[in-house]
Amino acid sequence: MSGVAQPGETATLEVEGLSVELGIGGRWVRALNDVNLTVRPGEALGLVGESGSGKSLTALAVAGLLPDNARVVAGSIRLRGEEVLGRSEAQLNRLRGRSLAFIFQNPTSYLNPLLTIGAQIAEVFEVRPELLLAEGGDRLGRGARRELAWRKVVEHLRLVHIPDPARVARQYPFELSGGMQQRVVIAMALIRRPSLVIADEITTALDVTVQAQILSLLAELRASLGMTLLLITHDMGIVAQLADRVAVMYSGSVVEASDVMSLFAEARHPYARALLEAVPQIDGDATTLRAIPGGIPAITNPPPGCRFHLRCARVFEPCVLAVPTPVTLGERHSVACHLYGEGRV
Amino acid sequence: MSAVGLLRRSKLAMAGAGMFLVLLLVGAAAPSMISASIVRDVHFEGKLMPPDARHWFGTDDYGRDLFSMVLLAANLDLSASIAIVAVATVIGVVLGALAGFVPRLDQPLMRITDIFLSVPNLVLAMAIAAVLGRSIGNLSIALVFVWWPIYCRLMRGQVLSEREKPYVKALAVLGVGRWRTIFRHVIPNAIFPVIARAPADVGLVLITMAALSYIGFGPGPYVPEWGSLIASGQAYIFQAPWLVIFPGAAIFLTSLSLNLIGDWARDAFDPRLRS
Repeated sequence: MSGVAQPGETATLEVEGLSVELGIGGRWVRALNDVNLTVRPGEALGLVGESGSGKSLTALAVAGLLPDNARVVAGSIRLRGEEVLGRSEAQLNRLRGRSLAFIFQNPTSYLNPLLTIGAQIAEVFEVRPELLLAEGGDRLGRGARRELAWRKVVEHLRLVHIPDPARVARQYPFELSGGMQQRVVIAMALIRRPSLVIADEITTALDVTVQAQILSLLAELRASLGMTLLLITHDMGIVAQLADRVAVMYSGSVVEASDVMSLFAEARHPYARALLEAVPQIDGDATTLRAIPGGIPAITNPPPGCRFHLRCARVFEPCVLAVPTPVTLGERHSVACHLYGEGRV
Repeated sequence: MSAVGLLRRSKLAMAGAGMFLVLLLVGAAAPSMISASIVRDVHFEGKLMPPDARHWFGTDDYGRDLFSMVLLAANLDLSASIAIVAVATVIGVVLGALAGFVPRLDQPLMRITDIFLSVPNLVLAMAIAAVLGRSIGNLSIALVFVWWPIYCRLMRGQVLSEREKPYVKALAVLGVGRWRTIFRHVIPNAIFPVIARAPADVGLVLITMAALSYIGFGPGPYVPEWGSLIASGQAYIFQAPWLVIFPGAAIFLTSLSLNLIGDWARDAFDPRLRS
C-alpha cells in the first residue's frame, strides 16, 4: 500500500497483492490478504502488528522461506526488480545470497554450534568469492585468500562493536551471550552488503539493555552503510527509533501505511490509533495501561467485512458488510478503512 | 575446554583410557610375542595347574598356558569388536543419512530396521551365526547385522532434527547451496551423537560376542576367544576356578574401560560442554 516507486528508481523490495494461504486442519485458510509493500533503497520500513497479524509470514514469503504448509495464491514479490516467487531452489539461493539478509529472532539457534564464529562468517566468502574481488581475491592463492577473508571477518566483528574481535572469531557460538550472538548474526548479514536486510523481531529474545544496544547499533549501521531495512516488530518504540516508514498489519492485511512522523502524529485507522494509545507513556499520569479490547480474530473463522470491526470503537454499517479497500491520503500515506471512503475524509 | 582437556580433568575417563590403551597394546603385541603353536601345544601332564611364577594364570585342561591364551584372545576380541562397530557405524550412518535426506527411501529403510530391531539382539545374532556357520568372521557378520539398524535409526533421527534447525534456514538465506549445507553443516552436527555412542558400543559388542561364543556360536576351541575360554573352563569351575576368573576379568576390565571412555565421549562430543 506504500506508494509506487518513483520513476527511474527500482524499489529494493516490492510486494504486490500478496495473498498466502495456510493448510490448517485439512483446509486452506487465508493468512495474508492482498498485502502491498514498497521499500525504497536506503529506506527502513517498520512492519508492525500483533502476533498472528501476518507480519512474520510476509517476511518469510519475501525470503522464500514459507513453511511447507503455506502456499502463495496471488501476488508478486520483487527484490530489486527480480521476481522471487516461482523460482527453483537453486535460483532462489543465488538471488537471496546476492540481495537479501535475514536476521532472525533467536540468534542462538541460527548459528551452527559446531563451527567457530569466524569459520561461519568466512563461509560467506567461500560461497560468494566475488565479495573479495575488490581486494584482489581472485589473484590470491588459497592460503592468502583465507587470510584475507579472516581479516574481513575480524573487521566486520569490530564494525558491530564486538570487543576483542580476533579472539571472538575463534570462539564457538555457545561461548557468547545472546546480545553478542545477535551482533555476530548482524555482522554475517552485513558482510555480504545485501540490498535488503530483513530483521524479524531481532530484539525480542534479548534483555532490555541489550535491546537498546542492538537498536542503536542498527541505527548506526544504517547511517554509515546506507542499509535498507525491513523491520518486523510489535514494538512501536522500535519503529519510532529506527524506521522511516511504517506499515501496520492486522489479521493478514496492511491497514495503514505512511511515514513514521505522520503515523505518530495522526494515525487514521482506528486500529493504528489504538495501537499507539496502547504504548505506555513515561510522562503520562495514567496509572493503567490502555489495551485494545478483544483479540485478533482466528484466521480459520474471520468475521465478515472489515476484520477489525468487532474491536473497533468507531464501527458503523459498512464495516460489517464489505472489506475496506485502501484509500490514498496524501503522498505515500494510505489507509484501508470505511471511515475514509469517498467523500468522508 | 578441548576434548583432551576434558579427558584430563576426569580421573575416571583417564583411568578408562589408560586401561584400554594397555589392553590395546597388549592385544596388538600378543601375536608377535606368543607363538601361535601354543594353542596346539598340548601337555596333559601339566593340565589344570594353578597360577605360579611360570604360568601366571595357571594352565587349562589341555595343559596350555592360560596367560598366553588370554593375551592372544585379547587381540581377537578387541580387533573384532572394534571392526564390528566400525562397519556397523559406517553402514548405519550412510543408510540413516539417506533415509533422512531422501523421503522416498525413508519408509522402506525404516521398515527394514524395524524388522531387525523387533528380534532380540542375542536371538537375531544366534540365528544369523547359526545359518552362516561357526567362525569368528561369521559371528562378526551376525553382530554387524544386529548393530547397524541402531546406528541407522539414530542417524536418521539426527538428520531429520538437524535439517529443520533454524541455522539451516539461515544458510539458505545466505545463499549456501544444498550439498554444501548437507555435508558441511547438517551431517557434522548430526553425526556427533552417533560417534559418541561408538566406544560404549564396542564394550557391548564385546560382551555380546563373548556371550555368543560362550554358548557355542564362537570359533572352535583352537581359536582363543574370551567367551569360549570361559565356556571350556566352566567344567572345572570348582577344581580350577582360574580358568573362568581370568578370561572373565579380561572381559570385565575391557568393557569397564570402554564404558568410562563412552561417558567421556558423550560429553566431549557435546560442544556445549566444551566451556
